[in-house]
Amino acid sequence: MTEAAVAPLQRAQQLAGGAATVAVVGAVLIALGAVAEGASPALAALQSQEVTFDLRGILELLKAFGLFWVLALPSFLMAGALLDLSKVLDEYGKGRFFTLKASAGVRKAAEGALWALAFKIVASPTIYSWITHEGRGFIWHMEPFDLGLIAFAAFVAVLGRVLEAAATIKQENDEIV
Amino acid sequence: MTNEEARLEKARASAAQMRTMTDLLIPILLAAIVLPLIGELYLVTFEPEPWATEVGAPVAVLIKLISYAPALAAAAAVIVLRAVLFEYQEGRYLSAKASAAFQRAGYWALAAFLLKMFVVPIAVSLLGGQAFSWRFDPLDAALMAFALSVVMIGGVLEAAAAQLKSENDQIV
Repeated sequence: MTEAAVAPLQRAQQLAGGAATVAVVGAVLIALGAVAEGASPALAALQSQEVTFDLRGILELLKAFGLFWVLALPSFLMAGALLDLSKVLDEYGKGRFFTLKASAGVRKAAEGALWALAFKIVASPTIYSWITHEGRGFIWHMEPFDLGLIAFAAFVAVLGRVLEAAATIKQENDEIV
Repeated sequence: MTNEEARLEKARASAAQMRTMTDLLIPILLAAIVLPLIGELYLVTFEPEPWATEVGAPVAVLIKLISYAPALAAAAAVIVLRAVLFEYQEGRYLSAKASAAFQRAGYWALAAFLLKMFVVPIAVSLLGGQAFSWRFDPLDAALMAFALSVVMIGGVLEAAAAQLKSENDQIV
């Protein structure tokens, strides 16, 4: 094998191994950022009402907890997608390029991104308005940029699915051999 | 046809179906981005709001064009991914072309985020539009990391494809 082909691969593997760690750190930081962002409206909601030890107080507490989850969930889902991607990069870092785990990781990460976008665009604003009684209908917060992202994530998910099917076949072949 | 061949054929057929769907979806996606842009360009030119009158029609048009740059970059990422589907349809799962296209798509998505998070707010404020304000959005940061990971995956697959080709060449 020529060194010209091996050196970039080794470099890429090293990069992938490093990127796997960075993805995990990024996922943790994003989750912490989401907690910080989601906690402030929930705390504000709590501060505006007196929390008492009766049914009303418990309901207010549940409402504040619900607000926190609604606001933080898209980022939590994306943090999960990053953890899936870190597994893929970890596999690549170990030189296992065409495995079922890596291919399934690509698919799962893209599906996680799709769920996160669905929550960001429709579910979170709608549920938020229901909880805060600001509205009753469905609320969309979609920009053209989000549309491009949805298509991008959907295509990556499809590619992951195809890679997963191909990796399954390769795994079966390897088992037979 | 053996079971293995049938499954491979199924994977290829799935890629082909997706490619057809892509061919239909890309024009819809572009229309969904470009048509509102045309509408906004019309409005700032012929029925300007007070801010557009203040900065003048050419600058207002430029601001609108810059504002849509992230969406167009995201659409470009999707268009680039089409090449990957074509390669997969042909059964070339670890080809240099597919891996390079995967990497390029990641770069476009990354560029879209950099445009959205930094370039557009700064450029718009410099042109006299909305005042510059930067707010950390964990979701945007996570999606940017997602795009960066796609770039990494594409890069590793490309290097692996080059190594595989080198091995094959040596055998031949």
